[in-house]
Amino acid sequence: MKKIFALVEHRKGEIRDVTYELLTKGRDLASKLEGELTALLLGNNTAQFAEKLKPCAHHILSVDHEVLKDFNAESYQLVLSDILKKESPWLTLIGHTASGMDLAPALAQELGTPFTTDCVEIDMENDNLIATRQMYGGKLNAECKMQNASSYILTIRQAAFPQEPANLNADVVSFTSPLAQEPDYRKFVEYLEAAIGEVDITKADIVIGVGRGIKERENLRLIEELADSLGGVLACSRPIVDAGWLPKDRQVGSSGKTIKPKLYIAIGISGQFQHITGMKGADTIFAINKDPNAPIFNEADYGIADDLFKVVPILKNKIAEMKSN
Amino acid sequence: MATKITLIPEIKDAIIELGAEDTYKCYQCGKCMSVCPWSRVSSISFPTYRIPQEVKLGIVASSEDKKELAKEVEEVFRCCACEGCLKECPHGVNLPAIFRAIRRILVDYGSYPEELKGTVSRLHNTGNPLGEAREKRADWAKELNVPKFTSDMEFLYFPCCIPAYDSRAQEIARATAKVLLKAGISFGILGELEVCCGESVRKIGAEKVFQELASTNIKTFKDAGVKKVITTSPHCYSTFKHEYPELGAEFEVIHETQLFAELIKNKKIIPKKPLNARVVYHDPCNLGRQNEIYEEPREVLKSIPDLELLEIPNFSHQYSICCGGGGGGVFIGWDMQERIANVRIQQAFDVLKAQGTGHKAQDSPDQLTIHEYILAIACPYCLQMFEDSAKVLNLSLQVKSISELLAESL
Repeated sequence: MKKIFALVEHRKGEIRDVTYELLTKGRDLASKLEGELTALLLGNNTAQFAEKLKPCAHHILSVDHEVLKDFNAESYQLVLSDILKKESPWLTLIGHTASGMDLAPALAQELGTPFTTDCVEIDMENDNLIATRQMYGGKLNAECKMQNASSYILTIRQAAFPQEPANLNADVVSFTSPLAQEPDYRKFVEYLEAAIGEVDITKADIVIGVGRGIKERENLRLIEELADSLGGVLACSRPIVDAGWLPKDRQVGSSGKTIKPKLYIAIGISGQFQHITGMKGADTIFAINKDPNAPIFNEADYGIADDLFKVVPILKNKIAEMKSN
Repeated sequence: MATKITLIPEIKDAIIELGAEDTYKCYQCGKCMSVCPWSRVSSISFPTYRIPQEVKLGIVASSEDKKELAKEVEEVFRCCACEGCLKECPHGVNLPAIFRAIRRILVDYGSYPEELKGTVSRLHNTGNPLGEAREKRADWAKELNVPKFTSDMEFLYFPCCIPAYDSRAQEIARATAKVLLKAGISFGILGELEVCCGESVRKIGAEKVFQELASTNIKTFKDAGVKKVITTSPHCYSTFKHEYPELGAEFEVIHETQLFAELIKNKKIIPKKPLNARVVYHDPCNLGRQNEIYEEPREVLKSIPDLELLEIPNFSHQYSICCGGGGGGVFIGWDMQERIANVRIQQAFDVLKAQGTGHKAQDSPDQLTIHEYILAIACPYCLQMFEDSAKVLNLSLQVKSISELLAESL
């Protein structure tokens, strides 16, 4: 029987979305391979989390200790390597998040376990595990055939798999923390909250996101005007913040804000997964990009594959015309 | 227009062959970027973790658009080979070696920054990166009566090109020579006979020029009967210690701060004059992280009466941040507002300033005296980078070498 483990990611008392995505995929694999899924739960006062996770896995392996209250990759690694050595799961799934990637490579290295990061699909071919990961900003899919081993670790891209409800009833097994205090060389200090700027893009119904396709800072005005005419707010993908054209609080994506507006218009945004993670929850997504193969169109409900400098002025005029009528 | 990616496996193979085999070990976790000193310059985006992937696909610096290509090439030359990433990488990926391999190809094709082309050609033509005349290489030592090296001497003193020629940096070579003379060390210099150690040019990717320089020095040292070398620059130190032996060199090398510490310990020199200064020592990458020489420079500073040595919390020893001068960076004219050295010197200044301006001198503990703020360095590149940054940021802080502080105190 194949044992599949999935690491629960939580922050400030909330289970993160990626956890349910891992558990959904984990259950899927478990049923295909006649295995069982265990949710690996590290934290302090884990009972509250365990209750929520019971329907999602066959087992919950819980390590409840004060030292695990807040995420510290070094503490997690010490605890997880101990668990994985004792439990020898066939596959361990970890979210491809900032925390997951702080932890997983060093863990795999310590255990000598075959490891692939940022997977968007997991398949079996005969007895081989095939992990699909995207390369080069999502323009290529690489199928990685893992070397034959008794155990594997994968990190899974956020939003690559859906979160589906389940009705299992996991038993909770407690595991004693091998760790009594945080390692000297790395300690959790505090959470730093990003300052809320003048506009809170997470509260807006209409958000216009702009990306690298805008080319010059001066061109932002064009998009701003469109946002104004629609009563929406201006947001952006990371390159715009990196270039210093818009403040960090306008950034949508895994290293920025997660937004769920009624309408999201992506202009000149190719749609790298880091951005998609932050806006996929929008009710309606409309994309303008001159590259018809841009990944943003996979997410969009509507799209125009053309030059934004051609489309946006027309759109703006059309809106003005409709308004005046 | 659809995005077209042209994969060029030949380029991948060539890069791997030139020293980028670690490419296949990269998990793309991005820890390299978290410690890359460029990540601390907020206006710069330098996604280091993407490079191994681009090598795997053979698409590194391959844009057809000229502007894009120039940006990609610039990125390849941003790495200052500080090896902070190598210390942090869970899988031991030597990213600086990958950058060096890519650079070797770009240099072969003449596709690299203009400033570096000048540096490479000056090194090829004159044996130093400044393009100065070889016969002037010993001018810094004229007033000090530093002897010419002869085979009966214990040490060769190798000052590095910058201290040999640059008027400010010459002071640090003179300070070292003064200390050595005072201690009665048996040493001499080779002056016009020696050339640059070649460290920078190798990191830039001009391997042939490195080979020329290294073989010139190795032959010169051998002919002169050199058995032990004292270096001022950690870059020369590292190159002599780790790279020259592969090319047939058989001499020992010691960094000047190691020798100073030993001389102080054995009471060959005794720092006597108090130096009423508050000092932060900046660990140079090539001395600290890359050769684990952390304590000797500090021991020298601590031996100076009244000198108060402070540490930059969380960013000293192996976590020191590069000045940006490594990997050829000292020869690239990065925008003065966007330099790593600005970040680093600000850290030092903040630590010094947090202590206030008053200081209790040891001999008169009740008396508060105003004293100097000093950033102590042990590398000529750090000197250059930090002095520039101190001016740009208008910081009232002096940049001095350990040798200068020690010489002042003797």
